[in-house]
Amino acid sequence: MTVSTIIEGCRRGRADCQRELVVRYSPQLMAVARRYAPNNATAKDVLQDSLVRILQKIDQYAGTGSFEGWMRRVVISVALKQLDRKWVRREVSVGEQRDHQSVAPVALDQLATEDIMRCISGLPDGYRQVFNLYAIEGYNHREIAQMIGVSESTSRSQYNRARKSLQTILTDLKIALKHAE
Amino acid sequence: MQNKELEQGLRDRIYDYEMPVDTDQLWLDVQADLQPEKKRRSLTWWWLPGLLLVGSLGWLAFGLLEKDTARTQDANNVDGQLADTQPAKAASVEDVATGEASMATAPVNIDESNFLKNYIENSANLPISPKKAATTPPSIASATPSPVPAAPPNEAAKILPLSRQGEEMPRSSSTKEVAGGKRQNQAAPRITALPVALLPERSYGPESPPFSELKDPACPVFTKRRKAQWSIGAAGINSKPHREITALNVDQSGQSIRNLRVETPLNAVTGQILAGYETGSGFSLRSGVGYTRINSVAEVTLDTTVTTIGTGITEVIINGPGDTTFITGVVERRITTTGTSRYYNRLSTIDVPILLGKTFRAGKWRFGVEAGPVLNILTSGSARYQLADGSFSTRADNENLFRNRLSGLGWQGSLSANFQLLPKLDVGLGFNAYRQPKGGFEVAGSPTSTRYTLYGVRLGIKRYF
Repeated sequence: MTVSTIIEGCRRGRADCQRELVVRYSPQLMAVARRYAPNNATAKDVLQDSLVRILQKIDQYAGTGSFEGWMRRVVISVALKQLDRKWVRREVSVGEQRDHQSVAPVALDQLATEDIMRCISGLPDGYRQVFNLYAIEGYNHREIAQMIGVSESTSRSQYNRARKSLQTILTDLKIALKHAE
Repeated sequence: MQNKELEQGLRDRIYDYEMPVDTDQLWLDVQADLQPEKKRRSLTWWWLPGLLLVGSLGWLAFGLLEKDTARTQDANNVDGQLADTQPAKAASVEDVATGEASMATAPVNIDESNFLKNYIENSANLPISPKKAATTPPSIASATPSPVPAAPPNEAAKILPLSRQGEEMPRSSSTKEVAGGKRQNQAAPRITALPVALLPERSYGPESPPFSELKDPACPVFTKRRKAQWSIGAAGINSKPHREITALNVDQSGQSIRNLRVETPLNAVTGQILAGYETGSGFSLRSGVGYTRINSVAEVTLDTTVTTIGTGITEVIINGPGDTTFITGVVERRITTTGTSRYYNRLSTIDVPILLGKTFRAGKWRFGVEAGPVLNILTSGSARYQLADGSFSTRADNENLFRNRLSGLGWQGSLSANFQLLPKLDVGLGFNAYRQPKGGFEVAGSPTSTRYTLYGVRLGIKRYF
């Protein structure tokens, strides 16, 4: 079943096409959701809500860009709203900053993708959002500021802190791996 | 590693990364979410016409009730009877005066509220003697349908005003005697008196109180049915909110529930403007618009642990006096920071209450009970929260915590005591309960939701027209 067939079938409400969309794209969209959600349970909720919204709003897909890219944006939008709606807004005060050691290029190669995902998940909510949007999705700080409702300078500073925190986590992980060897 | 390299490396590794998902279960969940959405949408489109239909039927029922009440009261009201039977009464009096069965055609003007006064005053001109009145055929009184028992002919004189009993009534200048002892009117009668048989005996007995006392509203002759009237009112309610957290599936929404539990409702303020219609029997239907604001605080204490790794002395070797070797290595330091974050939140709703009520009168006091559905048409809110360092962060109104609350139907009930401050102005104090519709803080279809019930004191003012 081609992508255009799936899209057309979903627009007409055909259950087989909707199921095909869910089965085919869920693993990829789950990875997107997982990067924004603090845990697996929340990521599953985000994925489910995103798929419902995708199937309901599929008429809004103009067909000009990548269908996968459009779905990713829906997942990101749902994830940001889900996190924004949480009552507990964790404001993490970093007690002490230290000069970060540079991470050797080999470090990322030594890590499994699951470990990298885990490192990103370990970031505080705000850091994780900005880091994902900027470093992975490729949005600029102005777009990020509009998406999550902060100023552009806040987005920039959050990203810098997120990057430093991630470097710290990766460094620790590298050291741990070295000791394990 | 440069920043760009780190970003590029991460992007290459995880952009197209896929995670295993139980697609069969996920499809079932998605399918279940899609199905209720259709039902919910159709319900959303249909409840408004349904509500209008119910309101219209209620209005119609009130109208019928009003007419029925008026009819019942008119049947029991002497005033109403007298007003309805004026031409017949005039004819009866004329008949008594002339002794013939001729019908008077001149209109008889009788003010209902002053009819007794008129009766007494005009009795002086009544061209009828007590003796003649005593011979009034019973058919005159019995011809008028009345629940008030007609006085027997032989008691007619007794129920005339005391001052006229036993006296020869002065004859009217417009009446002259003709042969055979009969009298005949020369002109249109100016008699405004009423047949005595229709009047309650106790109002005209020898011990009848003076007229000023008879004006007492407690006297059935002068008791008037309360008129139906329109009203407009405003009320302010200060309430203590009580919140419920519901979840159909605790496993999925456990985290959400825990998060919601950190919030403590503080107080709620409601303002309402209601207009409506109140029947003579005290039933009312009022509707309008209300604004409610619920203030709450969410307070949470967070322990944040930051682990840092640095270089430090890991081993000290004492070789001898004055000869010590320090071995440095990687040292892990953990710093835990505890901070309290508070979020001061505001939930605002705009509602349309539709209240059915019943009012009981006692002098200048009116005691009322009202209840009915409340339609929540708009919900919004905003939240500002305090960071652990004490500073505040403000969020825009369109980014608040409540923006996805669901509109719906709640109910309101109130008990109030109103005092008639001016003839058409009441002030009231009462108790109010307002159960808001269920609201979700998650996306539509999420099992986690909250519901507020507000218990408060109501202070209001009502103007009648």
